[in-house]
Amino acid sequence: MAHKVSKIAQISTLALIAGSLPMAFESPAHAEPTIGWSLGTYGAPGLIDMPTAEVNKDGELVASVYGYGKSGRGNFSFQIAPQLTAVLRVSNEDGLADDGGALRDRSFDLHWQVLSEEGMRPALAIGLRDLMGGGIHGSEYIVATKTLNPSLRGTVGLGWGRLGSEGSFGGGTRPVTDPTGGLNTEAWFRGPAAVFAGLAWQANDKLTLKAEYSSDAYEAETAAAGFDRKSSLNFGADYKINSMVKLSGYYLAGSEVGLQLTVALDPRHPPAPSGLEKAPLPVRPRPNPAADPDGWSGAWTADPTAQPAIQTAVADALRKDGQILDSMQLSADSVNVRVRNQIYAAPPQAIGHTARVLTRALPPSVETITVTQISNGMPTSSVTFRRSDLERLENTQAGEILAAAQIGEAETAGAYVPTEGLYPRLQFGLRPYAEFSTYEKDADLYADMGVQLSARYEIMPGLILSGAVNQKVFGNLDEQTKVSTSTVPHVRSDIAEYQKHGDLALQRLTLAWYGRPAENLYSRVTVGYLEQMYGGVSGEILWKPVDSRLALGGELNWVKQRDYDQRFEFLDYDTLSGHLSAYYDFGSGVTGSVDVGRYLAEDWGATFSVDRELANGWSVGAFATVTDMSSDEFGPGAFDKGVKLRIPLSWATGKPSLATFTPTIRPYVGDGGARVDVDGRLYESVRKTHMGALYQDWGRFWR
Amino acid sequence: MSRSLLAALAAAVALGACTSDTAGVSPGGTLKAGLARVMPGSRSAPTAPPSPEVLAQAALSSVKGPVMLATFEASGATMVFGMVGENGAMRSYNSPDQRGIVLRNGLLAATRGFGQDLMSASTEGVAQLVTAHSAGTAERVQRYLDGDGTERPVPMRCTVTIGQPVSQTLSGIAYSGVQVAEHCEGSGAVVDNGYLVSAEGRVLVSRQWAGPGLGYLVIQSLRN
Repeated sequence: MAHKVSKIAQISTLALIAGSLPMAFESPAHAEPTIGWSLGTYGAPGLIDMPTAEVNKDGELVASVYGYGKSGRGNFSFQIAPQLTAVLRVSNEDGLADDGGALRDRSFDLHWQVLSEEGMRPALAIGLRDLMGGGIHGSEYIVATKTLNPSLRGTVGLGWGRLGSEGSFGGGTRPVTDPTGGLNTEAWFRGPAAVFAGLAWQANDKLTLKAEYSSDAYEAETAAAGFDRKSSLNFGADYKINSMVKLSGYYLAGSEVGLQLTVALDPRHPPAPSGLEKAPLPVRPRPNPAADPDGWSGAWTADPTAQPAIQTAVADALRKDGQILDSMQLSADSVNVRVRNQIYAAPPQAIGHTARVLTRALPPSVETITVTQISNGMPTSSVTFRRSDLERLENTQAGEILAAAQIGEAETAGAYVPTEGLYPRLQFGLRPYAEFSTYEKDADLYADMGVQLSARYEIMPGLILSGAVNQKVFGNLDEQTKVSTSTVPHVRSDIAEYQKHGDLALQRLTLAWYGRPAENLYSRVTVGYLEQMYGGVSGEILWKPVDSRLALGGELNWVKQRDYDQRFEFLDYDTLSGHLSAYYDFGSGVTGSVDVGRYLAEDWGATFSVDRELANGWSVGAFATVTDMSSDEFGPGAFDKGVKLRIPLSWATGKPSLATFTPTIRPYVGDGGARVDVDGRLYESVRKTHMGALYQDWGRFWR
Repeated sequence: MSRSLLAALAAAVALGACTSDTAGVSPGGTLKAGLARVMPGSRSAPTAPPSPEVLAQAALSSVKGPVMLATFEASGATMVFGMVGENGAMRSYNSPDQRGIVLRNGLLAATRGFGQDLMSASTEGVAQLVTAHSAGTAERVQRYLDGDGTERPVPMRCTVTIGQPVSQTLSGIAYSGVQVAEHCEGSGAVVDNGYLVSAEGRVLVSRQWAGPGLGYLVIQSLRN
């Protein structure tokens, strides 16, 4: 007991003890994936050139740049599911092009951990490298990894293709693959196979040493570029610079030296602590009825100055919080406020702040509090609380107030009193932008940096005039030499022509009208210069009940192609495109969608998308569009596909913000499966305020 | 592509954006504030932090109502907190820069605005023992948002032991009460909280664990 009481002695002297506790909150492991110690030169969990059966951390995004001799690779890996790793790669291989120059190529890998390590059983994974291109990296493997002691892991595997090129046995000849894209299934796990093996040793927290017996013969490199493969043994060392950055050095085949830099972004470990913000206003409990009989009886409603005074007080408090009180409906026992959240990425946090502000401003007789979220002028959902629950449950487990609240369809009618002086509302902003050329085989990368001036003028709720203009400051996009040779209408492949014009390029200038035509229905009509390449009219309708996992939508666009200089002129091409869409919320942040219809080049087909979002706003998604355009007409890659990312600014800074960084990465920009890129599509406008997303983010209600 | 992502990410994070809004809401900072950030000479010179005694006296003379002093052990930062709300046994205190500490019966119930905050805590059992100067065991649950933003409970089992009555002057204020220690274990955490509790059962001074990110807080009530 004495030593415990001595803690008081520390208090009494205010002695400051630095240092934090070693903490481990992980729940007991059940079939947890086996997380990799190091990344190989192909950007997936591995030793050096050989893969391991490990995976990256769930949701992790890892960029790595690897070079040896005059060759290099840039790898992008995503852990799309706990067991599934995807890698996108661009490479520059010295001497391997047909003309003897550097071969610029891109490839795509999938790596699946079939079994995680458990007890005596090793982790087991299978993988496909370059599963579409038919390029020089094409290979498949089955691999097992076992933790031999806490700092040593051993790996043994069997490889085909490039990974079955040294010390191989059996299998006959490997079928030749079609290099123009599409899955090269005909070659998978075919041809000679070979065994590879290796060890990884975590020498200390910073340093991991690796050695492998390679089954990669480096045939093409030996023949074309004088690669000297003296040995099957490769050696490597990883040095962890900090939690995000690693530097690796390799000694390859007894003759070459390689270097790799790895940057890992783990959505669950933000660079800044989440929640650097103003503390919310606390709930103000009501006085007892004897202290405020008029307030409790509702007699205050007879005073005509009461409602305006309350509305002004609420609007002021919300404005200081970063929200806008759009309108309010107040009676003796209930209130319904329509609020625009301009700051919190998680709507429950905005709702929690609004509810607390209301407990401070409303007379005691008001027991029912309804907070309605407004998105693009449309009321999208309502959350109703009993005021006594807010008083009783303040700063308790977030699930308790959720259980006591009702989430439902937003009231679209009713006698709402608009807050004075909000409309017309003008917003403008200035921000930097960076634009990059699309990846082209055998072409350099070009880029522009500049500033974007944007403005948004909301004439009345839901009627919005908005635009954005880009001004290049420096860059070389105008030096691009690419000329589209597409044999179909150049609906996207002329992108370089557009990118050459960076002076006062009008990115968009539109008038949009959003509405709620009926219960569960949302509508949008947008007219004007819709995007960089198209102008016209776009109409959309969405059916989405607040508590429904399923949403259905339809979109119809008539568009005309804009002139390359992105001012006000048009080119000759115009077309009608449109889609029917189904969206489904699978829970745990996973949403899927299918869009069926006609695309910009008048090709018919469907787009399949899957997105995975964490409660902190990170999202990784993939999409693929298959249309009746032939793969020859489309060009390399055969069909349109890519990866979408969303990284919230609040994740990087810890401060509240709605701003996000949302790159879409396409391996190839072709003319097939292209859709017009309209701002403010309905599903994204309403999804975050509907039940699934509210539940996911609800932990922030009392924050 | 890796270059494009990293460069754009760096640009987006480093430069931020400037906005203006007639509705008066500018989450990204106003144009003026944005310009001020990049203009020279806008940084204020660092000054030495005042001593706890000076801080306590300044707080007592400038803030009305209940006031307390809180120190983060890990950083050594000491801040003044004034009460901004009272809901039953729960009191919400804010610092001048709008960070928040919430106490329930003197026990830490939540923190706000510091980052990696304690979202909520269930401490009824422990509070009963502590304020009644009685030894015993009780459950405690603290809740945090995990890396992906989901609320996670950290349940712990706590043993409360009673020490000696003491009288002590701290930051120029005399306190007398009974020492109470609380040792908690669970979910991989080992926590040692300590309290100086008055004869009436009020927590006067305490050292309490806020969480894995914030560490221990030393809280001293200056005026109840």
